[in-house]
Amino acid sequence: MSTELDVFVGNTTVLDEDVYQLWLDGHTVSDAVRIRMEAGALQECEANAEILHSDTMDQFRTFQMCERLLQSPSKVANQLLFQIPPHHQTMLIERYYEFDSVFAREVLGKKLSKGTKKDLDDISSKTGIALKCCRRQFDNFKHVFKVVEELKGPLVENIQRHFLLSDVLARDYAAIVFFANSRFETGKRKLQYLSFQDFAFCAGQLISYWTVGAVDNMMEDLNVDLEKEFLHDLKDLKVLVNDKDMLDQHKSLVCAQLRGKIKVFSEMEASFKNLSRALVNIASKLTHTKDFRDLFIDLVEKFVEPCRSDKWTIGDLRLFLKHYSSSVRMLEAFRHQVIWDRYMGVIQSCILKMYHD
Amino acid sequence: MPGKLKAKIVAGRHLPVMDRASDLTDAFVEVKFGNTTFKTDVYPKSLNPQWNSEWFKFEVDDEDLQDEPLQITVLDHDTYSANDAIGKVYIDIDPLLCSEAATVISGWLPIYDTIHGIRGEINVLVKVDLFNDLNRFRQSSCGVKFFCTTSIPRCYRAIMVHGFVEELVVNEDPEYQWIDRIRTPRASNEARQRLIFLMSGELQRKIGLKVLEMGGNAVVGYLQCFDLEGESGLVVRAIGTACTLEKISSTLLATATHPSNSSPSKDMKEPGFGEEAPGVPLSSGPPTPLRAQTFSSFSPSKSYSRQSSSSDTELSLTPKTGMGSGGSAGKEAGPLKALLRQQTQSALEQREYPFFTLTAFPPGFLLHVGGVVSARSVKLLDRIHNPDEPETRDAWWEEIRQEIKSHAKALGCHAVVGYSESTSICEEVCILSASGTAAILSSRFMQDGPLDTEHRLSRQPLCVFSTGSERVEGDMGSSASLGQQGVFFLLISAPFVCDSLKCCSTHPSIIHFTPFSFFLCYFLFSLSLCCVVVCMYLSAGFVTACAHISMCVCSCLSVFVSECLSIYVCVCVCACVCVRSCVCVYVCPAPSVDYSSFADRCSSWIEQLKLKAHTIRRGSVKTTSSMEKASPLPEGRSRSLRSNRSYSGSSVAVVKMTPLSFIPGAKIIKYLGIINMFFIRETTSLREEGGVSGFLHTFIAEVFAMVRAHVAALGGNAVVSYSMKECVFMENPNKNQAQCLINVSGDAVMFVRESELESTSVQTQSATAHTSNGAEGT
Repeated sequence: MSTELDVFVGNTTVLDEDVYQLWLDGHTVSDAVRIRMEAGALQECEANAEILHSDTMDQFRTFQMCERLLQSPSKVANQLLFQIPPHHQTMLIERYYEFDSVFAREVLGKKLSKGTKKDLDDISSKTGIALKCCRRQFDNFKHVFKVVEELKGPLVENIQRHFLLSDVLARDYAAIVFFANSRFETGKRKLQYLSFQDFAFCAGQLISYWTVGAVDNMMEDLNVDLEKEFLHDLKDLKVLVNDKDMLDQHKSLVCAQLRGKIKVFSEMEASFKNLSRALVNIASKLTHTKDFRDLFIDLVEKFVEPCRSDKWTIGDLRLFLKHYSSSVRMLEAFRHQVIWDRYMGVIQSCILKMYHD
Repeated sequence: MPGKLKAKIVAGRHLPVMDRASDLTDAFVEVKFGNTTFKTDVYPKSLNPQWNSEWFKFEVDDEDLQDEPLQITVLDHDTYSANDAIGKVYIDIDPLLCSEAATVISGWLPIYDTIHGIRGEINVLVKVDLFNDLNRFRQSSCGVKFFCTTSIPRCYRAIMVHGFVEELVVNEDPEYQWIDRIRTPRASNEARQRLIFLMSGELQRKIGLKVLEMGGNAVVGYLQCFDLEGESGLVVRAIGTACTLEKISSTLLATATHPSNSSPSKDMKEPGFGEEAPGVPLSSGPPTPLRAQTFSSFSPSKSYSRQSSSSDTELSLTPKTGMGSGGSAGKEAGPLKALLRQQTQSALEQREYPFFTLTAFPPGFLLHVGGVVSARSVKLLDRIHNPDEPETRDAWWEEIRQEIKSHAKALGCHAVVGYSESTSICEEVCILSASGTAAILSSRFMQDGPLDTEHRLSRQPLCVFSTGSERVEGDMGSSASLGQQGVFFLLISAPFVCDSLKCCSTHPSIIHFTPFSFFLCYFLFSLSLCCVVVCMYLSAGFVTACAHISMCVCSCLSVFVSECLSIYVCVCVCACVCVRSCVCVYVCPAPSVDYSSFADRCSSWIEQLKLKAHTIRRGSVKTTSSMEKASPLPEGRSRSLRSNRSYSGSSVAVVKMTPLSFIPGAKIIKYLGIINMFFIRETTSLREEGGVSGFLHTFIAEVFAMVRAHVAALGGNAVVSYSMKECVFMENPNKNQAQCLINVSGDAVMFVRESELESTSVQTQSATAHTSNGAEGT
């Protein structure tokens, strides 16, 4: 048996971004060495495999030691153990918190609990992302969730402040926290075509317009719960489909606007009442937790799929939704204009985002 | 009570969780100096306590101030059981005792535990008020400056070089006391750490006293070593060169470009380096009382009146060899003359030991280099009669120094420069070795010298440098001009040494090793003139390896590799990376070493260093490519170019480390004091920490962190002449345990970049440690 001691420690911590990425991706040392060799590291440095191996070992060890710090990024800047130049610090943190959207898509809407953690094996084999890497990403989600859960104020800013992440990444994390908190159904087969980015966009919309925090920044606790009062008020929109006159009037207004402007005019005319009923019903049922969690599946089943089967183009859909929501203003008997606009604004952009193959 | 030490505990941060129930800690701090202890209040339930204590005041003798470290212990308060220690911080207050060094220690220092490593940080403020005490019989030597640098520090000039000082203190090693059987490893480690702090404080004080006796005010080339002799005790010894230094005042630094006709001391050619103009008075009498005002404003005529007859040599000795306008050339003219004059005054050979630990000398100072002289002796530690007394060891070293002296004489030389001493201890066998370069210090001195060169033939010289004074810098112990050949040669010589090792490993008796090592030295030396260092160190390591001893430490090699790395990188990566310094801790492997693998290891080190250098270069090229294009490839280390990146965002000050005595491209404006720390780390969960590699990786990173923090607390931004040594490493994989001891030393300095003043950028220079151990089982 041979034990070997071979360590290289720098006063300024030596970091190679490529090796860091290999580590983050969950490669073992020997894997990483092979990949580096294939990438031509030997030619570049005139080194042999053994040295490359020990270099990789050193760096992996360093990253492992850094990991504890990276879990609370605010410590990275004032810790004394590693002397890391600030631009490297930023890189370390940002990369550590980056995640694969394929992975995030799988976890989206699931409870960030031990149970889900056990499923990581499946997710790993499904997505082809190394288990170690999955664990890191999952733990990051959980960690961010746990920290911001107890904080007041706007979600994205909280994430940015506590984890020193870039704006884009912080927004993605906000979406993940939002989904984990609201537990939206995202796993159904019909929703499989939607990517993480689609959902993240929708989450952004919901956070910006429907949540408690959107109205009042100084609320206690996590402000990603939807505003109860608003959801309750949505029930008033039922009048749009329950009142026969109003429904007919609404239809004729929209038809007048769209005549000759969209290719699927006749299909639209035929399905108007169904579509309108679908949207208003979704709105009116959002107070129920079960229906609320099904928001996306409902949108797809009741709106996106009918349109898709009638071969609406995205342009047609955009025009339709625009006039569908704006022509309500001309209905004299309708008195819930503010609620309607707040509802349709979000629904409109979500549907447009979700309307693709 | 000639001194008052004041300490204030401000705050803590990142403390570990000590109470599992609440995930918090109720921390308080004990501040101890000597036998006095103060406590702060308990700051309940916080990992970032704000104690903001009052000033704790210790009224102490300055003798104690020098000996004792300030000991800060952070504890977790526990109502029902004993308070748990979180960790400790030892603060050496020596830098505060000298008016020219730091005035306050203030900043975040890592809290260190010998079992758990760094556990959070603590913010402290430490000050010292010294009362002037003119007691002639005092035992303290406050104010004597210590420098690890083996040349005259950059912002000082030498008025007088007095010569060799050495001291040695012995104590019982706490690890081997009977009480160690019943106390915890932590307590034992802490006892040891504290003892070593005390001993090195005492050692410095005693050396300081000797320096004061000689009339000096500083020790340059201070080299401190620990010999862990095991049962027979713990020895701390140090050597250095006593000097009288004068600080070059800052106004002179700034305005020195204009020559002044009235004041000789302003007659400098380059800002930053003091140079005495010809005719500067050098007080030849008792030097101490006069030195302070000697150079500031004397007119030439006045100064001549003070000269003694012996100082007429100065004019003739003023270097003709191109003083030039180079700052480094000018700088050393002072010490040269001072030394020469002093030598003529009291002939060098009348001294006990004409040794100098300095390695860098002014041009023209060394007229002839005789060659390397080295001496070794093998001692058995269990034969010491009274282990607790220093006499035996003193006698050992005496013997060796005498031998060195006679070697030098045999080479027709009167002095030894670049002198260093080291030991290797393996169980009961202790190998003492000393080496240096025999040299003739001046032509004048040659004439005075009684020795004739015939003596050379009477003894076989180990190696003769035929190159003369130009090659001085490439000499023993000096890193300056080893150049790339050094690296190259290591690769060649390593297999060679190993072959010889194999053939002699059959020698059964230790006694044979000493002559053999001489033979080997000679043989190796004759291979290449420029690689003496390599051979010496390799052979030293070899001798111990031959003795079939379970583990030996070859700290010398570390010095070498550190130097060769910096040189290598200088040559290779000069365009975009500054000198990348390295400290290598080489732990020699277990019995029945496979020597060829040792050779491979040597070469693979170099390879690996190359790779690291490339990594750095690659990283730097990405960010500073424009910079690189703009700069021509400079030659040599001194021109290494750095990129100027602004790190304003960092809340932790960047501290550089280098084993060099200077920082390329920057000017050292202040020496803040010597850094001399000793750390012990032990683990009982070796596997969990990633095996020996993981354990040492963490430990070395922690040591760096602590050195940086202490330097930053002194107000410095770099450590020069940094060295990491005396690494004892013991592992027991079966018990899942390992223990490691590391001593670090260097000079804390404050520097400013030559190019800058407009930008505050500091690019981090890498100091790296490379630890390697190959232990193949049979």
